[in-house]
Amino acid sequence: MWWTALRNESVKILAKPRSYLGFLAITLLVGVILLALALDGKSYIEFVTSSLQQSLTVEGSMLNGYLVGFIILQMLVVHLPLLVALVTGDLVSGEAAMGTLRNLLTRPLSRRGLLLSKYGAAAVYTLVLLLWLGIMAVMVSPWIFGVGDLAVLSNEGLQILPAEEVLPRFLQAFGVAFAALYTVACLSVTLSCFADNSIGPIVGTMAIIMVFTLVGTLDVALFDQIRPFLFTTHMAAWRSLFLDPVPWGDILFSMVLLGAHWVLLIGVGLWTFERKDILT
Amino acid sequence: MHGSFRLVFVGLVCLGWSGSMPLAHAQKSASAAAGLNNAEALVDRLVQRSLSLRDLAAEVQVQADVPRVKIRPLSATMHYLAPDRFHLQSPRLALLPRQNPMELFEFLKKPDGYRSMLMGEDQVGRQRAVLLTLLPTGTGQDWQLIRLWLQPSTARILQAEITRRSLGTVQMQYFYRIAIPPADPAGLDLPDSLLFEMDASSLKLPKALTADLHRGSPKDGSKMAQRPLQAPDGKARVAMGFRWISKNQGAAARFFKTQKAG
Repeated sequence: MWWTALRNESVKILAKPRSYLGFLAITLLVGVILLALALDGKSYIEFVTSSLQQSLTVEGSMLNGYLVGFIILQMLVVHLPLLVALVTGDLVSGEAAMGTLRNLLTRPLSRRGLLLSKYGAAAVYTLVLLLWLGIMAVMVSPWIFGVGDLAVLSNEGLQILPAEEVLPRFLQAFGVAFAALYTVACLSVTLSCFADNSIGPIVGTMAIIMVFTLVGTLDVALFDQIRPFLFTTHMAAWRSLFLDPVPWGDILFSMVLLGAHWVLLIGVGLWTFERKDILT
Repeated sequence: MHGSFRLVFVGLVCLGWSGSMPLAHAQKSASAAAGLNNAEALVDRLVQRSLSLRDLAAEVQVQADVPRVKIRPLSATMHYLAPDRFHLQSPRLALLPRQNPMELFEFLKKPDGYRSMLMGEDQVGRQRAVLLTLLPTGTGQDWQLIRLWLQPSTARILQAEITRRSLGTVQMQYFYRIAIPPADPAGLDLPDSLLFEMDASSLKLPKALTADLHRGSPKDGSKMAQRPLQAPDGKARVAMGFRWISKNQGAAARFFKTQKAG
């Protein structure tokens, strides 16, 4: 029964034109980044390595598909929460706004089952959106630019990772990025349980992300204690997989914290939805 | 850090390249100092030896220790064709000194371009050396000064220092597995490994586009950004260990011909 509900929810997401906006946006943005780097990527690399090249020379091409993929991921993962919230923020409130929620609950499926199927459909959508980004970043970019060692700029300096290590790290990074994005999806579905229109949960999700990001970025001692527990602090945890050595302990902490957010948000959503007075 | 890097480098060369023979400067012959005790004789020997260098191919182990840069050691193939064609064929990104490792020999081939002065004796490691200084005869050259630490009896290069307008000063240390160079003055006497050392205190890299979550708070991050990953003395070091595949047998000429055709 739950699987049928999950399939139905996924089909409903597929039927909405707004679900394709994310894919279109990713395709366009990646196209623009690829074009820009194909035309002017060398000067980008020169900017990064100009000081290094005063005394040393880099043999081999730093501008390769893996670097382009990394740049794409770094640029777009910031914008993906909006694309995710745009669809998942509508899952419950959209039904309420259209007046189909009460009708939906007449079926022999508990409220808990129905809401969990919506959380499941949100996970599927997030995963597919991330997979599309992955295809563009890790398959299209190497196809155009070729493969090679990945030069990653971090706070500590320039780290050069051998090409054979890059693909497994990308796969793991997508796993961590999924955990972060699904937290956004859970947040917007949970907010959706409180609202009867789609705009509120979408704007609400973005507002929370903005406030948490600001709190995380402000270098104020007051926020030092809460910063590690904000999910936005862990949105960029995937980047740590490109450090050498990989800080596995920190990544595990990020994953546990994001998982705790899932449980908390889904719990709040279920508690609210089961007690909600559904009038439409 | 310098000491540990050198230890790793020496280990790398010894283990990587069949290494049963000790890697050392030629100590034995140094003590038998005779003959080459004036600048002209030393330069003459250096010129003869440099002129015999025409076509080289080698497998190279490269290890770079550069502040704020983390790169793993790698193996590559090197080709050198006189006068100035140098190519490192590597499946991976490699950090190399800006000048090719054979460039010094190219300088030495043209004695009209410099004048030499013997500056006395010095020590290179535990080995006695004579210090030869070369100054350009013209004014238009990029290079300003070359200092060579040579084995007194054989004119084998133990250490070199090149100062240029464009690149600053680069120091090179030469290591040989065979203690005694060939008796033939025109015989090839190639180092088995080279250690380049250059100033990198002014090396700057742009800050990361996004902060590293797992590298502390933004406060810590800014401190980290100023802290070098390696080489805290501000020097960049590149070690190259050679296993010579072909010496003057046309391998590099064939390689560059193929490259041109390709």
